[in-house]
Amino acid sequence: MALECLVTMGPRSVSTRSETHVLADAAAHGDTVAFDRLVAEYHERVLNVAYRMVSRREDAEDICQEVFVKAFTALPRLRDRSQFGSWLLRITANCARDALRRRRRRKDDLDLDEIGPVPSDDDHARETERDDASRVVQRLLMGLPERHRIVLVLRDIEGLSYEEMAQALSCTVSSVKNRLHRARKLFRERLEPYVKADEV
Amino acid sequence: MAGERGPRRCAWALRQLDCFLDGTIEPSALDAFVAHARNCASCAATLAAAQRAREALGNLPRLTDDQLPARINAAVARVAENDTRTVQRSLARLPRAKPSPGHREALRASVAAQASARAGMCRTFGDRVEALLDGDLPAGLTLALERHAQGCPVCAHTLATAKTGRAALAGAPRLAPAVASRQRIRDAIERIAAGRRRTRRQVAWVGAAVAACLAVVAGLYGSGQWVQPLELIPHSVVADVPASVAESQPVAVAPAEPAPATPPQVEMRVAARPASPPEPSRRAPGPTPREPLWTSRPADDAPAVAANLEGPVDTYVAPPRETIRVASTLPPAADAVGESAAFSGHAEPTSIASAHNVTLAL
Ligand SMILES: [Zn+2]
Ligand SMILES: [Zn+2]
Repeated sequence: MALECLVTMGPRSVSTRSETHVLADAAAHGDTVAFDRLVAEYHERVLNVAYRMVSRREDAEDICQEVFVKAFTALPRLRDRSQFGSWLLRITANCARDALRRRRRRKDDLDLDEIGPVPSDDDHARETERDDASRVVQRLLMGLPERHRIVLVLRDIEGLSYEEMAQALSCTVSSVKNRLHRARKLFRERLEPYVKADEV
Repeated sequence: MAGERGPRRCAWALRQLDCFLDGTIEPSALDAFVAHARNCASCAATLAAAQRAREALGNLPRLTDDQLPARINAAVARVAENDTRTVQRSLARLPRAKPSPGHREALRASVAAQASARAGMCRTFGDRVEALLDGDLPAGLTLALERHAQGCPVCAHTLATAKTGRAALAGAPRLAPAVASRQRIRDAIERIAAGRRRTRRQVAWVGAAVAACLAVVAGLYGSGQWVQPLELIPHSVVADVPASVAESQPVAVAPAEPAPATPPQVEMRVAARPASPPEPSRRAPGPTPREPLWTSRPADDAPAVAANLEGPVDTYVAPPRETIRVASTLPPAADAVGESAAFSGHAEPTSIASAHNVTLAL
């Protein structure tokens, strides 16, 4: 049953929840091909969430690997496998948090000046203005407390629904909304000096 | 009453002015009028001006020429101007009307209310601007906030900032996963899966081998040809069997469970085995797992990892890194693989890619 799904799915297609469920079930029983499909599906998102949380590409890639290894190991114990995506993001958030703790322990805290433009494969498409803006955004994100940063990343960058966020953060929808409200307010207040007054 | 001053008195005096000049003033009022005019400079000036005007009118030449109306007009205008100035001056000197304490309080409250209504609207705007952008507000409030932002530069800036922030986050450039990183993940997963398969086979093999050995031992023992094949039996099993029991009940020592048909069950049994040995009397020579069997199974650290994964993000406490590593990094592939290859006798897919193709072909 997993196989039909695998054959019909293109590599770039977005799985529906039930497709994810089927793949996750197969992967939980040790099907590495099914798991590879899930990696293909979620790699980009996990990488970007991790990057927004830790601001270093190498660290984000290490987190990715850690996340997928943990997911494969623990998948048999995941009860509701239709929630695989949110569950994966929860692991991502936890791994990112660990990475930041290790960094603090090593006294290797990120220097905000270290944040460069997001490396892009397409050099021609890069514009310095856009790079500057993205750098400012990333610095402001890093200036927020982690619990606020993660909600902004999941909602305003990744576009998750409140329900998905609640699952990924193990809390209620209303507490997601509260956190998001505070996070956006903080972010806006810090962004304010960068926005010209006549810019509407 | 004489010489009394004050705005009311001036007003009274000005009303008496014409009667005084006409000589028709009440005798009772005359003294008071004079007394006031002496003490009040502005009424004195008004009186003087009025007297001059009367004189000017009285002294008008009895002309019949055409200039008369113009002269009269000029004279009246001069007097009127003079009087107006005088009256204005005297009015300016009137004490200002003082608002009552109650009135002042009401005024202050009204000004404060206006200011706070504006500030309250700004506060509301700051609180609701995200909901406004999300379109989550009732129509009335949306309209009120939009109107407010049009007239309030502070809130207009807040709105602009919120919009800019949203756009910047939504349009933040994205990293593309590197091919090498994808392959690294694939390899790690494949190692784990291979480790699991190996473990199952090893458990099955060890179970079968031990059972076979024990059967041999039991056979030899029963036929009286006991030669102590210690190298075939785990040392602890033999050492713990009391000499008397070993002498008298040789068969009972070897129940020789058949090798389980389904590897997962064996694996569960091995993984669940308590660390402390069971009672000597019940101890049957079962499979005694060797070191690699325990370290390559993630079961031991399962609770820690599970807590890690299930726990809420906020309260999550990082487990010791070492625990995680047991699950993620398996024993060095070299010797373990050599062993399992010898046991299993069949090749396993070397990469996900090959397994991938096979599965898709189905
Ligand atoms: Zn007067
Ligand atoms: Zn305002």
